[in-house]
Amino acid sequence: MGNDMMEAYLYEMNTLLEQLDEMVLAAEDASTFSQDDVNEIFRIMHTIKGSSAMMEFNSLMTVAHRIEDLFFIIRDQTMEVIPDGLRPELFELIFRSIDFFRAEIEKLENNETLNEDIDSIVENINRFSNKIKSPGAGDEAAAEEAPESGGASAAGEESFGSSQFPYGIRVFFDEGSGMENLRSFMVLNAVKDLCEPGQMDCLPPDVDSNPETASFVAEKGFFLRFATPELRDLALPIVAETGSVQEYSPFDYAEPQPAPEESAAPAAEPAAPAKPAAPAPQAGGTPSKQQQQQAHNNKESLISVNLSKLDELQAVVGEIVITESMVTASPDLKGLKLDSFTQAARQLRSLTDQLQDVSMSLRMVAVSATFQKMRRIVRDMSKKLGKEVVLNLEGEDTEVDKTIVDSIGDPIMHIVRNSMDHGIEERPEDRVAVGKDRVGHITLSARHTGSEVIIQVIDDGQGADDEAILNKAVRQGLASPGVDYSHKDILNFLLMPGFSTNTEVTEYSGRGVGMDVVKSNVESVGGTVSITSEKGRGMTTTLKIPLTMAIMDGMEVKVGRSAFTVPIQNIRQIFRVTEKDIIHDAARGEMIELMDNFYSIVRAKEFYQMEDGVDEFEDGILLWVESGETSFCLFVDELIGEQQVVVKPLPNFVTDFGIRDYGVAGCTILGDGSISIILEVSSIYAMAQSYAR
Amino acid sequence: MPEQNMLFARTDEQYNTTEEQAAVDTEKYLVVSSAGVLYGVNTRYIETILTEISITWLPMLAPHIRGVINLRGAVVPILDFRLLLGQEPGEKSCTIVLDSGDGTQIGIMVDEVDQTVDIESGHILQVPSQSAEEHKLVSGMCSLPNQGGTLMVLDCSLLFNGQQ
Repeated sequence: MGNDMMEAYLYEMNTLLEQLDEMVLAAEDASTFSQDDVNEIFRIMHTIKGSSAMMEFNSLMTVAHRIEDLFFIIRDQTMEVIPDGLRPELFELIFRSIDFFRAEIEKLENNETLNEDIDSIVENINRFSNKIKSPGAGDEAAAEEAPESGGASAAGEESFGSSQFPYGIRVFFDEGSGMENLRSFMVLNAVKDLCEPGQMDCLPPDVDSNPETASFVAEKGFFLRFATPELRDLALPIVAETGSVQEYSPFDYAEPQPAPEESAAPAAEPAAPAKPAAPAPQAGGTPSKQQQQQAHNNKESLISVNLSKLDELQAVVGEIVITESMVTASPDLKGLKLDSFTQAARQLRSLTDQLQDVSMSLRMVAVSATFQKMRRIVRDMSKKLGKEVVLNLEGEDTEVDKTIVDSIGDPIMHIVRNSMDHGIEERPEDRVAVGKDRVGHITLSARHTGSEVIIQVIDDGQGADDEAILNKAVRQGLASPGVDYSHKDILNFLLMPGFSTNTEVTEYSGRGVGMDVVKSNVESVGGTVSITSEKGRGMTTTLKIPLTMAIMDGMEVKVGRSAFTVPIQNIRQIFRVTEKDIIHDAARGEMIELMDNFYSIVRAKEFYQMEDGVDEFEDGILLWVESGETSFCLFVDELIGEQQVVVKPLPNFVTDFGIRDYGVAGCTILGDGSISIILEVSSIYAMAQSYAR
Repeated sequence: MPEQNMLFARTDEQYNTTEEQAAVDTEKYLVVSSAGVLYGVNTRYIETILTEISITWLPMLAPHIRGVINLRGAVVPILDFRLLLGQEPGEKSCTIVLDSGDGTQIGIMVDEVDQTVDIESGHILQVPSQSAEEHKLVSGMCSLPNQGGTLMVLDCSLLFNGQQ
């Protein structure tokens, strides 16, 4: 139970912080907050405060509370209250606060203790609040309270009723429970949905925004007042269920006996002056309520599901797909004429296909969240490095498997940082001198190509300096001096471990661990990284990633008695050759010329030292396969056909033998129950090359 | 697939109910034979027994690992017990699939599966310290009743470790 609450809290916090970050970034571009933004930030801080209080994270609550107070002022007096000169400070302040929340949330996620030392951040917020608090603001707030308390005392100890809403509930919370105003607000929220707007009100009216009301509630109770007794009857059980409620009692509005005329006037008055004093909260309250309702509607159509459940679903669906073909292609059915069976089987097939599509689509999420995070990185770095850079996002709606989204966040961040740090020129004058826009541009784009998603980070910076890279590579012992390297080879040095073109280690780009980590991260989800660059024109880093790793299209091939699956996306061409097409080199290596290029041939039978299998090229078939920079031909016995397969990992017991290095990436169970080995072509080539040497 | 499950586990369970009280410190062992030697495998580890399997060969493995099989959707590696001990492959074979308890499964190919026996833990004796390959896998020995011969009790946890 506690865990569920914690999980919900973390999820909520992360969502809110993301929303906040996005909003503040957009606002910073416009260099002002719209009134909607202010309301929204106020609402978010309010929620953070409330839920943090519930979870008893006092430091988080306090910080949220301070920001809420700050935005209360801004909401009240619009952005006008903040002179242009102070605005950058405001944005910075909020970013720092977001970072604070993020850091704390991360600690919670890792079960670490929270940082209780929040003095500096709170002080910063307070100082800023004081700066913008015009002398009049304090008076107004005081004026706002005065008539209210006066009204309450004038109305007398006993009459917390209202003639408009005569049917009330008086609620007392557990003694010493604290945060009475928020608890009241929670009760109010729970009850509010029961009735139309304008059918009820509460006393004190501003429990959500005025922390001073806590003492009033603790002393005199919290009053909910309804227009009809029916509404009150509905509300009573809800109040009873709300946490920390010590006692509650219904009461009716009693017509004040002596001089009703006079006493009605003071009762109405406190409400009246309060209204003009705070028009903004009222005006602001309405849209935020609408937004709340909208958020409410969204909640109804969206649910958050634990990823492990989706994994489980995916696994079961995978089994169904296999089992279905085991049943329909069962050898027992051979030679039988089964019309209705065939018909039912066909229907089953279309349903399982549908089921598979649905279960896959459940796991798909848009890359936008990952992309949005880069905005923040670009912003922070351009401040720090003094480079003006604009980040453009393209294809944010592109959807990929959740596990893949999670694993590409860090690589993209590394690449963006590299572009910021090494790509974009130090001085805008240098850019202007070569005819480029003063402001640097980094474009982050995502798009689908059937089975894979292509993510590109494009900067228009200074590009890669071949000579510098080569010199560096030679110095690092990655390249041999005197060897003629192609432009492509040189760019590949950037992806090698222990390479960094920047002589200094900077805060952001680190010591060249970046790009090779990018490469291995992307490869771990079956993707590839490639770099293209033109000196002076910028650099493009391209990540190609399969949409999902669990189910893929494979080509079944046979070598000897073994079945292998080659991912369709790796196959460029399939063809038959004869012995005379083959070119032999001195080291018994075999090659073939295709489209004006020579490609080596790897014989699967020899590569895996198998006993059975064909030796003559005339009897077998060549697959021209490609993966990233790797391109070669794989010689196999025969093709069985294309098939959608469910990828299964091999048990550790066998992977401990390093068979991954031999291109055995996993396996899949075929329709007849036999196992086919899934090949990863780039590893095969790498291993075959190391054999040859 | 021609996979046949023999019903050893089920008969065990029937015995269990009657012998529960008598069994002080008794554990059940499945007696299997390989190259003329009897081995005891604690029934706690046994997932199923298969007589016919179709093994998928995988490249680059140690010779005693014959490959993997598809056991109801799970991919299970198969060890040949004779090859593991450096002996010649046998003619007959029967595979017992062991489950480590945490979901790791391996299959062991032996010559024959014999019976299950109850052995009091006090009856299992230390193995004389020798360094033969076979003895590393054997955690104890005991004599079977009725001149049934000597049983080598296998340490199954070592089998799951693969490489060692």
